Formats: sequence, C-alpha cells, structure tokens
Amino acid sequence: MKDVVFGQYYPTGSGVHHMDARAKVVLALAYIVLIFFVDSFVGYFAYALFVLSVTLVAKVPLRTLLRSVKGVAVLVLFISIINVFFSGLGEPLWQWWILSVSVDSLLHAAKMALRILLLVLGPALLTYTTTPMELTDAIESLMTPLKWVRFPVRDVAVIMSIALRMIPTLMEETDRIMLAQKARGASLDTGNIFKRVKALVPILIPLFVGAFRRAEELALALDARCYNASPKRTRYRILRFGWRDLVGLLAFGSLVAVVVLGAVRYDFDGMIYDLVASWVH
Amino acid sequence: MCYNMPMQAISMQNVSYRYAVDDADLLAVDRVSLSIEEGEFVVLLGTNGSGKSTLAKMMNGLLVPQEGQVVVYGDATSDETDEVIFRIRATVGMVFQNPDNQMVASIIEDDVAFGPENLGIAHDEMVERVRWALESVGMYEYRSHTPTKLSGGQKQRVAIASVLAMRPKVLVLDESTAMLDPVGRAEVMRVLHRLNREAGITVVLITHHMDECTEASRAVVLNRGRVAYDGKPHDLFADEALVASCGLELPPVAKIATLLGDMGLKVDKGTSDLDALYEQICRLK
Repeated sequence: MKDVVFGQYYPTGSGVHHMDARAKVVLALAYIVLIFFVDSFVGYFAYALFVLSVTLVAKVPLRTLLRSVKGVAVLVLFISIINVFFSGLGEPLWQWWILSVSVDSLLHAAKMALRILLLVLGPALLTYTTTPMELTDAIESLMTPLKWVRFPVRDVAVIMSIALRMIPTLMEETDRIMLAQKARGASLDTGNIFKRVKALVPILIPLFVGAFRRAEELALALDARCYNASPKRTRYRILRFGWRDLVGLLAFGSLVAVVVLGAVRYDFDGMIYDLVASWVH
Repeated sequence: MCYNMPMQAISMQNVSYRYAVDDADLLAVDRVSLSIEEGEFVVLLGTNGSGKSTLAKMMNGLLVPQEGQVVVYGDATSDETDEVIFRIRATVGMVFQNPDNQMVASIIEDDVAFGPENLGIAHDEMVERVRWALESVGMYEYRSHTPTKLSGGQKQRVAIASVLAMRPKVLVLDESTAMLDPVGRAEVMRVLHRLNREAGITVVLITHHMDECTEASRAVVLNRGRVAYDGKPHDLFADEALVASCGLELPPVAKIATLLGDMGLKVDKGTSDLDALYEQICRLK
C-alpha cells in the first residue's frame, strides 16, 4: 500500500523540496490566480517552460508529474470539443446546424486545454515536493495574522495535524471492518450501485463509532500532554525563508513579466494564427 | 534535601471515585490510601473493573476524586488553577493503552515535540529534549519516520518518549502493555526498567499481567476498588489464594514454585525467576 501520510510526495532532496513551504504555497496560489489572466500563447509557453524548469530542478520525473494530469484528461477533452464546435468565433471553415469550426475556435480550444493542464500541473508540483505535514505548518504560519481576529489558528493546526495522522489508522480500520463483515457473509462488490451503497452502511457505522471512541481517548491524551498549557506555544519546526525561496520568487517574477509582456505583444499569437490557418487551408 | 528519607511523589488519602451509570452508582475506587515514593517501580495489578485505570487517571488529575485527595509533589489535583494542573500533568506523565490513539503528528519527532511545544519550551531545549527522549527509548533513528509502519512495541516506546519529552518525574502507564505481543511487552518493560534505574524516574505500571511485576520494587493489587495487597512482589507470588481471589493468575514460574512448595518440597513459593527456581530445585535432596 502506498504511504498515505506522504500523499504523492516524491522525495529527491532537491532545492525545491527544501524551499520554505510557505513560499511554495504562496507561489502556488499566485500561479493559479495568474493563469486566469493569461490568454496568449506566449503566456502559456512561458507557463509551460516554468513548470518544466521547476520539474527539472526538483528532479521529479516528467512522467510522474504527467500522471497527475490523468485525472483531468476527460475534462480537458470534453472542454476542448465544446470549445471547438460551439465557440462561434471567427470565420467558419465548416458548419453544420449549430456546430461550426474555425481557426479561432481551434486556437481557443487549445488555449483552454493548456490552461486546465497547467492549472493542474502547478499544484501537483507543490504536492510532489512538499509533504502534507509541511503544508499544514505552512498554512498555520500563513494564517497567523488571523489570530488578531481571535481565530484559533493553533487549534486548527492541531486539528489538521491529527486528521492527517488519523487517515492511515482509519483506513486500516476500514479494511479490518470490511474483512469482518465479509467474514459474516456481507457481499460488498456484487449487485447494482444501490445495493453496493447499502452494503457500505454496516461498514460506516462501526467506523464512526470507532472514530468517536478514538477521539475520546485522544482527548485524554491531549490533556495528559498539557495541551493549551502555555499561551505562548513554541514550535519544534521552524520555517525559514532562505535564498532558495528568493530564487523561486524571482523565477516566478520573470514568469509574470513574460506573461504581461506577452499580453502586450500579440504578434506571436498572430504568427500562430497564420500558421494554423495556412495549414488548415 | 533529605537523602535518608525517600521523597513522596504521589500521595492518595482515602480516595473514592464513583461513576454514575444509568441511575446506578458504580464505586470504582473505594477509600484507597496509597503513597508512591520517588524512585519506586510500582506495578498496580487488577482485573478489568478493579478500578486500576480510574486510580491511574487520578494520579495526574485527569480525574479528580469525589472523596479524599491526591497530592503530587505537594500539589493537590483538586486545585483548579491552570498553573497547578499543568504542573501536575507535566510531572506525572501518562501513557495510555492504544498507541494509535495518543499520537497527534504524522512524524515521530513532531509527536514527541508536542508536549514541550505545549509547555512553551524554547526551541534549542526542545530539540535537546526530543533527542534525549527518543534516545532513552531507543527510537532516535526512527525520528523522521511515520508511526504507521512501526510495530506495537515501537509505537508504545514512541508514546513513552512523547511523555518523557515533558521531563516528568513520574511515568504512569495505564495498561500500556495490554495490546502488545510478548516481544513488544519485553521491549517496553526493558525501557521502563532502564528509565527507572538510570534516569531515576518513578514508574507506576498498571497491568493485569502478573509477570510484569517480577522485577518491580513493589506490587499493589486492586480488587473491587480496594487495595488487596501492597508489598513486595515476592510475597504476592507466594500467596496463591490471594492472587486467585483477586482474579489474577500466577506467572508460570511462580505457579510451578507454588506447586512444588505445596508438595512439601523446600522451594520458595514466591520464586518468579526461572534461574532462581532452577537453582533451588538443584539443591533439593
């Protein structure tokens, strides 16, 4: 079984892995936001180049990274088809009923596909290079300002940590309960969808009861270990913003510059348009 | 400091605790007086429902007795100020039965650091404490692993380290060996005896396995909420009638010694060590 605790973390010990998780989270957020402002091929190529170079620096095999795209492949295909036939852009090359295809619609569909793919690849890189635990720490640290509005940042962080900690334990328990129910003759993988869903009930109920019992014991254990003892809780892991993070920010900064410049200089997209148009004709 | 007289770590005077279960009262602990000296290795024995877990939870104020009082190094657990309560809990560290239900982090060293983090220990000292705690239980090399892949004995050793990192003077283990296989139990017992011997930590081990008290300095048997025996483990092993009346079972070696003694042979009935028994049998004429 794959280690759930580390999610899809791909340890290589690279510079990207050693970056401050906060920097990576912020960059990933900026990456996501920025991509919605990109609508030129220059921008998308810059984005792809950025993803590619980060992947190389992180020493994550390209094939591993591309695996994360599998999940959205159907969506990408669907959206591309819709965009090709229904966008109604430009001069139609081919038309039937409400469907039409033009050079513009082809290019538009390509852009949409690129946008979704790149949208998935960025955060995937984040999870390949950052453990869920580091992400939790980063989120806690980034939420610190919320303490001013009396938001219980520390409690939320502990909740996230415990949730993460309990996933493998509860999965083990689910396996055990399923085996126990099967031993009593429950059939979990036969019958139609309704029967299968119904068969899950005798698994979920003991799982929930068990989880509550665990929670009770855990509460005692938290008390026994002085949870909330000191108003000034210290931290074992210290996140440090270092030169690697600066490099990351600069790299992303250049991406932004290229995207902005690309939007201003539209010539490149015109070239692609001509290229596709001549090829189609 | 007085060196002749052992210092009292935990003192319980006339302590009672009752649970209200469906209108009926269940008296779990019935006027128990018990005092635990610093440096002792006490094994608290009893069957299910003897009140031993309730007694354990009163030792660090997780439960406060309805009658009587518990005093930990001069602090009463009935004190409601946070400062005193947290001081008691950091002094009397408690390890529970199921290691999976007392770990809060997915990485071992983070879990061990949880206690010191809560206490607001400075970072440098925290790193030192985590290292010391994990080394004391022989798990330092696993510090960056996740607990899911460890054996039961290893998990429970991590749980002990997590409590040790708070630098407690007393370690209370509430049936912490019950879920372990013999190998895991032996690992944990070894660690506990070393901590007791080398770090001078007072150990209170709650169990229903009598063989775990063979090396202890003191055995206390609880039966229906009352202390049925308090003394050397040796004398307990020699008293089969008492052991049976408390629902416990003699470990094999003590059982054989008792049988031999009953047969009129000159064998010490309280023997629990195999080599010692062997030697006695060899000396028989």
